[in-house]
Amino acid sequence: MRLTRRGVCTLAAAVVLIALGLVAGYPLAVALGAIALGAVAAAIGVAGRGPRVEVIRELFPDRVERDGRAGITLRVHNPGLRRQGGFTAVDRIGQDRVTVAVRPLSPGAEHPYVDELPTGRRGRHQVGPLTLVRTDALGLGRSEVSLGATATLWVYPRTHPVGAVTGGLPLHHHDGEASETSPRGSLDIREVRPYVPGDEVRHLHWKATARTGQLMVRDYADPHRPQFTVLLDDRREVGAPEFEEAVELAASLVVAAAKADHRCRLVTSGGVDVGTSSGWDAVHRYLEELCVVARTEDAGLPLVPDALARWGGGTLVVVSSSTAVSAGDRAALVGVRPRYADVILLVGLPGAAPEVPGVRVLRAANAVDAIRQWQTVIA
Amino acid sequence: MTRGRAVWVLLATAVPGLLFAPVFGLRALAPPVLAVVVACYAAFELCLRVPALRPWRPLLALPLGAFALVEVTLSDTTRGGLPTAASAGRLVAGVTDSWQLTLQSTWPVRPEADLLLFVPLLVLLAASAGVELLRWPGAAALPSLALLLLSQAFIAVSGAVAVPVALAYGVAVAGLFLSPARSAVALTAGLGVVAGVATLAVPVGPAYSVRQHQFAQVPLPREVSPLTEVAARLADPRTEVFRYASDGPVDRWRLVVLDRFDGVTWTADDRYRRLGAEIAPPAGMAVPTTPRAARITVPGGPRWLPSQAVPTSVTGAVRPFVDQDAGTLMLPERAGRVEYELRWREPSGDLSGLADAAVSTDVPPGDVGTVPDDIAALAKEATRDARPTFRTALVLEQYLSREYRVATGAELPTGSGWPQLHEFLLETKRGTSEQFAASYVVLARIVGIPARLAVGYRAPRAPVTGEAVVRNGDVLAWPEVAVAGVGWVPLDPAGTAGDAGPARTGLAEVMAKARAELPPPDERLPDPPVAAVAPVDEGISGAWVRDVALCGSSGLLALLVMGLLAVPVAKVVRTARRRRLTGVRGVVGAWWEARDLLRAHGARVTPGMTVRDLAAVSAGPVVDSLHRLACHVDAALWSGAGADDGTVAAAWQAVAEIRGTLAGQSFGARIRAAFALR
Repeated sequence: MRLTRRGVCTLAAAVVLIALGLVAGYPLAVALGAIALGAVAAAIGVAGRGPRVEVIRELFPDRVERDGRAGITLRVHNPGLRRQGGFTAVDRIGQDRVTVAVRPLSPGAEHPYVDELPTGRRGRHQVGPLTLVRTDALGLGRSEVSLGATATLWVYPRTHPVGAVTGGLPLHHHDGEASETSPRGSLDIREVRPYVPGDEVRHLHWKATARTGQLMVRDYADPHRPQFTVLLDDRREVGAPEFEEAVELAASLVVAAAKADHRCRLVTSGGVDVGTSSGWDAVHRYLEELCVVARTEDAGLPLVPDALARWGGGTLVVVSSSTAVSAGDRAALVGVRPRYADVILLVGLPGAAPEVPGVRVLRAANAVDAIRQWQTVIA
Repeated sequence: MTRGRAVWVLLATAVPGLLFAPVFGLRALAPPVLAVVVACYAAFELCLRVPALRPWRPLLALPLGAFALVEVTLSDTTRGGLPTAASAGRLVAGVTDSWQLTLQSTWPVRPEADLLLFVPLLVLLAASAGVELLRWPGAAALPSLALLLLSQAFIAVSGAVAVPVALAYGVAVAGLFLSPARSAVALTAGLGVVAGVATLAVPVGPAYSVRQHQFAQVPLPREVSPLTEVAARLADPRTEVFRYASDGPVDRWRLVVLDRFDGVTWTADDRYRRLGAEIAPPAGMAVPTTPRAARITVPGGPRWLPSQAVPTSVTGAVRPFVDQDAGTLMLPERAGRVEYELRWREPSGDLSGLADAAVSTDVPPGDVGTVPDDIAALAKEATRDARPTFRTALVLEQYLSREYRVATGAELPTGSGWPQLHEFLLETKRGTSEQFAASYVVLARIVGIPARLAVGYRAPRAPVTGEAVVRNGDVLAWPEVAVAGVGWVPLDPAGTAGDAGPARTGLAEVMAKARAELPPPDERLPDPPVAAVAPVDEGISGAWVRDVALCGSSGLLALLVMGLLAVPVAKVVRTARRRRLTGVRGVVGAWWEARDLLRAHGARVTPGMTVRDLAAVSAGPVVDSLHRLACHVDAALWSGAGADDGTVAAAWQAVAEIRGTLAGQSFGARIRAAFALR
């Protein structure tokens, strides 16, 4: 329990008013000072005893898209033998706050309060600790009780429905002519590499083993198996609003691809590298990653990370900003171009469109606009 | 939310603005104050709707408020509804002059814009500042609070009105402070109202007002005092001075009242104010009064206008200054004929106790300069060495009128300094009303009766209705004596001496009766009844020691009683708290209670003792109860099943048995146990 700054000032003003009224003979000042004293006394009476209740917090759902609906239920229980006066419960969600006005509770009673959480900010937010605040009507006194338990709310980036693009491995011609459409699938040797435990023994390349003196294995891949890679530019140079749109766009594309059972990979310039098998688990994995992704703190990172240089196949979508793509980045994109069937660069409207040979460039105002263009041009 | 707060802050500013109502009258003050407040709100609303104007809000509110003020109060300076340069000039005068004019005037002032302009301007400033400070509600209330204190510094509201006004202002500020939670509004409101009403019982001293030492600057140079002109006027008796038509008989008209005497000249205090709308009777006047009115025409002459002792208002083209204590009117810039209607109040009703009344103790007797020794002896002789009362004053008047003659003819004595008075009192014993009145005042002051000298005209006897003409020959100087509860009562030693006789006013009749009842000159005056004197304390040091001893002993006694009662009360509270425990803690609470009961009754309880240990060292029926309690405690603590309400009740039942057993002990043992610190 403590008096707020306003309460202390009111108390001081009351004393000054009463003293002035008594010295100068102003009954109005005395009465006003007395009324202020009464208000301060009421504040002490109200806020003198903090709320003694038990509160159970329930979040549902605890994973939600940005601007989606997430509810919070506070079950307030009075375990004591005394009636509890009303108070205000303030729950912290990241930088936002949810305020619930709790009505007076009789002994042993329980009352649920349902409210909606603010989901305007992407990210993994800690909900709580819950603060119970009891103040008087004029805000002169205040008592606070903090209840320690916290929960986590995942606010995913929004995903828009988008058609998944199909792109497999570029066909190899070293082993001779290949048919572009093989109805029962195909097998294409990617490389011959040292054996690692777990590799198929059947695929040992004996000639190479004999020549090199160590076990070598053939690395096969289905050339028609669709692959999809998203490179999200999370460098410092990208503006914050543009980055949010980029995350939304990346989420839409990668979720659509994962749902379509494509092999996906999410890479960022800052070092995030997530490659999973397809399916619903993968969708959550990508969304969680995109939920917490943030712009890097260091400036001057290259757009194309090293991880991408050793990977290939399928479609590569680069989501970036025209202002952030430098000449070096363009050169790096040209460098990785041969490893992919298709490379698409999606950038925002500000700045001149970067020209990269062999790379399709789409410019869009925001994620929705980008999806619309994607549907028109690519899918 | 923002709108609501703006409305509250504007209300909180309007309340102190309207507190100036006793000065200006609510009817004159309310429209400009409300206009300014409404203009402020209009500016606020405009800035809400047009966010581009938001940074310019104060610059918008001030001209808008000034415009509303001009339209409401200075509409005579506008042309086609638009303010002119004259309006701006009047507004500037409102900032610089109007508060001074208000302070120099009697209250309530005349309802003129030039006087009240400063109040709506202050309200405008405070409201604008309050609205700008809305982000900090506490700070937003400060301008209005300052305005409220300023209004009190002008005129403080009295106790009975102060509480509702304070509550109204408090409500406005509370509306500003009100949090969205709005919890316990009733408690805050209730405590606030109770605390506010409780201040009705707090005695508050006389209010300080900034007006107290503010008087109008009356332009110099001064004219010749009317007192020195008495003889000259008597020498030319036919010249008309002024004429009047009154609604009843008038005794006399006053021009000036002189209350300072330095031994040579009589002068007046320069305490003139501008005459406001109406003057209330002086505070010391307890007798009932009746209103009177007369229409007076003064063709020319000195700056002083004929007046009465308690004037209330003057209507007409003139704007005179008034000395409220003396009742004199003055017109500094006077040219030619002046016509006005004077209203005043006269004591009336039952004045029969006047003769026995005491002289006022609020008024100091006044200066007399250096008194010649023989005059002091004469004063004692004239008043028959009696105490200063009104009867003594009448005796002195009777003495003068009996022993001295009014001078008539061509050779009239002049002057009222000590040499002339000495000559009049001890040698010639012949003088005009000037010497009579001046002598009376100094003699009365020597014996301790507060008196002052007034100069004016005796009202002509003949017509009661119709127009009466006052001429030079009616000039009169007379003394006035301050009587408790009545105020200044005019006497007329020269009038009675000259046998002119007073006009038939109520006060004059009572005075005549009192004069007739005076004892003969050779008799001692009967002493007026004296209130019983409070017994004098025997020495300050004794009383001081006794007071200290009394306070100390009563404080010690109170401490002792509190200390004695604290132990049983604390035990009762402790038991009640234990009774409220439930479950296992309830059973353990019962054990603690039993342990403490036995310890208070002298059982040797050591730390870590169990119930059975205590039973082993106890004796008598308590042992059985302790064993039962031990079973419940064991079951509650060690069985793993906990304790339900039945177990708790059974444990407490065992405690009740122990208590019942202990109640069978002797009275002394029980008392010792009740006060034992265990």
